[in-house]
Amino acid sequence: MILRGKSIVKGYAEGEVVATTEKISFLEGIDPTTSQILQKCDVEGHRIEGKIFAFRGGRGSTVGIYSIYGLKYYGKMPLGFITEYTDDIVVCGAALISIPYISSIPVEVLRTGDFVVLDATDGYVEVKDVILRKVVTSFLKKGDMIAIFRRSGKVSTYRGKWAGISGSVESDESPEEAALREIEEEVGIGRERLSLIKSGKPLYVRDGKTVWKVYPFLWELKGCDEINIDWEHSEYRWIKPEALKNYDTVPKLYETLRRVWSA
Amino acid sequence: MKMYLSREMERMLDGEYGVGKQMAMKVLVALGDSYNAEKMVRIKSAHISGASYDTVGEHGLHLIKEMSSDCEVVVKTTLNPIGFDRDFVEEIDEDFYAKQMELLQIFQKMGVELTCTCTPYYHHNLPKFGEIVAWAESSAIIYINSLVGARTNRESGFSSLCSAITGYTPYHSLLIEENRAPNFVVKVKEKLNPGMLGLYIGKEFQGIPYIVFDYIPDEDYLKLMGAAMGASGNISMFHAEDITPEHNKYDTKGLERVEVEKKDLEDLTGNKDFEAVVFGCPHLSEREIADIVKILGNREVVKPIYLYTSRGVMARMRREVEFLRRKGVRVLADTCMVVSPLLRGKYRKIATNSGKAYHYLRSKKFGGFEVYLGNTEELLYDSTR
Repeated sequence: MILRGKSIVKGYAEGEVVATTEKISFLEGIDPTTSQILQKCDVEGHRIEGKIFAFRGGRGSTVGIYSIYGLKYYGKMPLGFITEYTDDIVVCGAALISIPYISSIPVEVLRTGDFVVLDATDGYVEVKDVILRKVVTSFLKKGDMIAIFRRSGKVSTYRGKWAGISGSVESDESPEEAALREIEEEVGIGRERLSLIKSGKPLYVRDGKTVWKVYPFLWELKGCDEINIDWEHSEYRWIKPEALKNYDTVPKLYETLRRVWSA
Repeated sequence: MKMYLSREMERMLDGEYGVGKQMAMKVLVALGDSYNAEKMVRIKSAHISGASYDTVGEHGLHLIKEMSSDCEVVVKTTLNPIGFDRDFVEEIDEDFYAKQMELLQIFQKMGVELTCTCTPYYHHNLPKFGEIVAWAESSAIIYINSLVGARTNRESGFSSLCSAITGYTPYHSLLIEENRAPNFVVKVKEKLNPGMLGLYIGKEFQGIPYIVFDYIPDEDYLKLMGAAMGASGNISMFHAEDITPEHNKYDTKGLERVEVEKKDLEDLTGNKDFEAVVFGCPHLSEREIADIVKILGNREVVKPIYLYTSRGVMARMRREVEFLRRKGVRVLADTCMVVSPLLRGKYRKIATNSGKAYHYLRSKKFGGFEVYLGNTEELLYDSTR
């Protein structure tokens, strides 16, 4: 999988990643003498020496720059930094100790232990042995209800889980085209009965060695609310959006919905 | 798009002017590129934070030493408070004293003025209207952007040091005229405690406020308000209608408007049961000290009172300072209640008139005190008779 980002400090590195979706305060969050992460988070206790450190962004005191320098001073240098949000402390720190730094990468797709190529000259991150698949998820809306669908036993992934109308984006179509095609194929509703309410910012779902880049859509359904489902689904329901939390769904479905619907 | 660099800057980057300038330029280029800045611009002055050994640590000391080995600052550069008052060091741990003084000497060797104050604009370093500077210290940043009309981004202690060494800063954000326009309007309907007002605005909003007061706040009021805004949020500039120098440059039509009144600030005060009272965050001005002297008058001090100011202000207020010290008030320079460990362990409950001090003293890192935020006069009456 290749993810494009913004190159901040040029350079190249490859190695194992230590990844967290937390914002890191370097002043009290990292011990520069050991490179150990002290901040309470899912990678607390890990050492970043010899690793590529991926985190959401920086936070806290600007004096944190000295802790990043400390990693070099004590010979505990990480190989590079990857963040989602660009942060002044991290920018200064990476430049100062001359390690590659790339930002605007959705760090939630990375897992501690992934092997990563960080090319901050060309501006990309390659995650080895992980594939990226683009998919769409559509929600149909009628009044204040939305339709959700239970995936049948015949589909290859997430059997029995509740979902929106989803499917892969083919290489020659836009996400919106893919969404319309999937609705037509799976529930037999043509585009004349749909009007787009909102298309949301895509989100990433990591599942094993696969990363799903999910494009969320919310459509107003015109006409009758009877839906004909095909083999891919075993049942469907009209529910209030908030009730989705109570269903056993495919990963991050509620988050996907929240990108196109606000309470 | 990469930032344009002059030949001089390229040479700095290549190390032709030595290690210090090379490291500094590398950091500034990375910062500029991250903001998509088109170029670097010259600065007139710098102000550096992170001056306490306690926060920079041994490795920070080493870095500053390495950078200073072959270069000096090329513009007027002042320094933030440190961990103690250099005139009162009896209680200071010997090792800490030695390390702090070593750090100060390194700064001095680079040509940094050892002002040790967060209000360099009173006597040591006052930029002119429109001047571009590279300042750290959030309360000073907001003060000179808003009240003076000088232009600085929200620099860190380290990026301001890099700018002081090279003489340049990347051109972006608040250095550019159109980015200094207000983003929302705040109407203040009744006279409010400046610290509470600042904490509230900083916490609730982002961007640059255009503040309309129903009364006329003085510079000290605006200083306290601004410092609190910079502490609870990351606001780096405000406009005050008919008061601040750039207030009439921009159109406020169509901006979001909010009103603030006393009841919005109710949970920003704390328990009024304190053991000591502290003033001077940011460092006290001459007028603030004069006001305190006036309010105290013949009253007798019954609870410890601490005042923090700069050496420059202290030198001009010698008689007042003597008067206060005779009364038992502790008047200190170079340091403050937040960066010095002086109060920790000694008291648990503290009162202050500063929203910024209220914000930091409550945090674990700076002592985890119980703090009451009040008005100057009220606090002075409550600690005297």
